[in-house]
Amino acid sequence: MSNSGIWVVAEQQGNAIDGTTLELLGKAYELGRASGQPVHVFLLGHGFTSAAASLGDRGADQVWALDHAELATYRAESFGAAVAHTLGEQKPSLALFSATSSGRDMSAYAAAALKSAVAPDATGIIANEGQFNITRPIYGGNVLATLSTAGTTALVTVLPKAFEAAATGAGRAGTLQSVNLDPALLAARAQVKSFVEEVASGKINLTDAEVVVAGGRGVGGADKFGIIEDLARALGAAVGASRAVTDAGWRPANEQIGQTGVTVKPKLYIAAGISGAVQHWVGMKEAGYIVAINTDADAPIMKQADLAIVGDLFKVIPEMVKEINAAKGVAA
Amino acid sequence: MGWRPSERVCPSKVIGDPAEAPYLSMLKELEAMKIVVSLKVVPDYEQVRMAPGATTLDVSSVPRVPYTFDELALEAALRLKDADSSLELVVVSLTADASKSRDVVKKALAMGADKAILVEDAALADADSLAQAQVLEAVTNKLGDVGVLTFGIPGIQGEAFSSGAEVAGLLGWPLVSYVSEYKLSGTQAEAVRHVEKGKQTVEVPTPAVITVGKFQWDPRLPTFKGIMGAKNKPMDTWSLADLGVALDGHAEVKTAALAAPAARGAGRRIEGEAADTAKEAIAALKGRQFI
Repeated sequence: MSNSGIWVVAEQQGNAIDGTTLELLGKAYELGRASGQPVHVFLLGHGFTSAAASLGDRGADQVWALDHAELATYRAESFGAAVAHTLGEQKPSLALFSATSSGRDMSAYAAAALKSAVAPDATGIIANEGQFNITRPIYGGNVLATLSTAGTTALVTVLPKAFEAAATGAGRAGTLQSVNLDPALLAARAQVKSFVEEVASGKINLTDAEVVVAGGRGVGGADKFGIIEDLARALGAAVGASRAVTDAGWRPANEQIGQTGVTVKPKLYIAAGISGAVQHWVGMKEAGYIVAINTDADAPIMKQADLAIVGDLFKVIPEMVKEINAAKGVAA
Repeated sequence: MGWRPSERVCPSKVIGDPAEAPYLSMLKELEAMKIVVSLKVVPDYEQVRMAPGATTLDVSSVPRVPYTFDELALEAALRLKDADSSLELVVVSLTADASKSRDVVKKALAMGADKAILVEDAALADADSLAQAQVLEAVTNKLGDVGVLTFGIPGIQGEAFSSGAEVAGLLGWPLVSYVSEYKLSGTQAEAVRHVEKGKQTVEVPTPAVITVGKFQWDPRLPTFKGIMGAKNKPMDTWSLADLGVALDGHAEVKTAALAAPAARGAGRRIEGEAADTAKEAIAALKGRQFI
């Protein structure tokens, strides 16, 4: 087995390491311990100063930092070239990327440069005689495929929420090392003209929420979504939506859960007025406990939910809110 | 080689001897900028089921559909063509069995694409992302004058998906990924990206690779006129030999096994008056310490 280690290609905003990166690190640490390989984290961007500080405690033996002005905003060419070049030199046995927009770009650029292929959308990774076996959902999650890798470096993208985030207390060195490469490599032809942040502030983050209440077409309109917000507020939950809802403009696009939206893995998921087409199901099927409220007892989600409430959400939800508030001792 | 913008002829600027015009329009035809859409034809994933305990999967009888995101890329490209009919829109589909792909590709022609190319080879059944990207790189080079090569973003619908990003890497072209819409102006493309944290506007010189990843518009339905017109549009079948590509059967990533996902146990159903069902539901949630 190549012993040159397991690499995690990080994503961060300023000094805050993304949750998906910590999930990669959790898996890398576990695989590294099992196979006796060191764990490396590759941070690239501009103006991060303390992002590396906690990574040793979360299992990184070494942290490689590439801080350059060309990497101040994300451009696929620059980030892809930096990753391809660095992995080509270091030749790890496994490089993990998040299956996010930039993680997918970077892994593909690395594959093109290394004349390799990507094993995409992993939900499971196990070491197998010097190579790796990757589990990934295909056909919208209706089938699980096991992929085998060959070659020097296995390039794997990992679906968000597939693995537990790295815990603290690993006590590894996390030795910081600068990456030096020819800045000409980082030049990109794309120019970013504007960036509008769409992450809602002051709200519970949908991707990380422990409880999610989502509304679908059955809610009936933007002005009626207050009922979903009421239930979310009572439960301390984030609000989500189906594609029909965001397509209709009832809710912002970043609240869309499903194949073309975000993937969530809350402990409790409540779907109101959502039929549960595969498109939606793949974005929330890993939830711990699924409650569906629907007038149609035969809707697909009603057959898969842990608790299927047959009824009109406009009648059931206010009663649920009343019950929750009573249980919490809050005046209704 | 690639698209050479300096040699494009802009008819509005043609002045002088009208006898030259036919020659110039022919030249323009020869050098029409191509938009190439990579369209994967896949089994309709909503209809694919694997029996618990099974280790093999037969999808031969499952209807074929366009890969969702590729169809979005097609729609975005059709919108460019709506605005500028001089663009030539070429659909390329890699397939191990063209007979299974032809109907879906024909639909793309009926929607408004000008031309389709099926690249057929049995070896494509097991092609990993590198092999697919190498084939698409060769197709792009053979076509020539490609201004935009466009794909859907990767997803979890099918088995092996070449990502546009890998082709961009092989071709050395700039990439804009997760795009909802874009427009062309001269030798520049301006694209709107939707990513996890927000919305970005990016400008790139063409030729470029653009991957589309958002439902900005529902793909159009073919019109009757489109369906009739598609019958006369070219659909060529190329072999890997035509492209000078050899897939030697080596793959960096192979499918080793298939399995049915763990079934979710049938849940509990509550019916009745709203107040009663709500009480029962909340009791269940309390029992699980959610409240």
